[in-house]
Amino acid sequence: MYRFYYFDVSLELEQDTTEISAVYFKNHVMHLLNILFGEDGASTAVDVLKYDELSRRAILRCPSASYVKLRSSLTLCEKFNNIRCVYRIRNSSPCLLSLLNTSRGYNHY
Amino acid sequence: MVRFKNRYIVIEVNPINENNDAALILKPASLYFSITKKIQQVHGDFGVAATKTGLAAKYCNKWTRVAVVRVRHGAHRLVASCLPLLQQVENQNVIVRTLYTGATLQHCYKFIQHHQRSYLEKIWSKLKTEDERNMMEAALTDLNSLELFGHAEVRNKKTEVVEDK
Repeated sequence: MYRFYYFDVSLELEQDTTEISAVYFKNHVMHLLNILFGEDGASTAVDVLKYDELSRRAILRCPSASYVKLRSSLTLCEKFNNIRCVYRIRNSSPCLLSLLNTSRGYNHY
Repeated sequence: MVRFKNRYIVIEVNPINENNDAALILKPASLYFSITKKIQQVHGDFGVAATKTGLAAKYCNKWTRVAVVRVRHGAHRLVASCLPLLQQVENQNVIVRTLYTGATLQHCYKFIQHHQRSYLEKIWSKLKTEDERNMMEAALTDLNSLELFGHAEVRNKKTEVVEDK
């Protein structure tokens, strides 16, 4: 039904380190898929649509069928280069525009 | 009643460098370990967790190099996709061919008997003495290692099939 699933994620590290570029970010995501789902999982086409180095926040995109795989891989992430880390998935949706805001942030007066 | 369904995959493990008639001798657990390692590589932690409970690999016959892998019903697709990619068993380079997938051990047993019989017919002419031929026949029709899977029914069915023939 929907072709892609979009995530709004940010990577939070225990210690602040050097900058993580978009390439390293994507490499880490693929590495997580590899750990949990092997080569078959790492071959899913995950794209980093936007990446902000300062806040380490990204918009990821994956095929709808791999949504559960990608989400579970991000959830079970432990380390980034031996630094403890966590992926906060702020929002996820099959429609890119709806990542802008949720009804939680909207003032219903 | 929900029951545990299994799938039994019959494979042929061929070493790359040697000619076809040589017997391949493997330790009992090496096939199991190579398959688990391959699943870890291709399907990750999820694959190993999904397949480990029901996984068992038994090497049937060293002459025809036939082995049977038992897997749970849902997880059999993960294992079946890994078997052709299996390259090394016990530091030997091998090629794995999938021969048959059966839902019960009896199905596999019938297939393996047929397979062994056609192999025996092929090499019958190459064996010179009567003794050799009898020994080979005994070696090929001896499938007792399958009973290690824990099915006592295999032994009973064995006599039925022999009587039919």
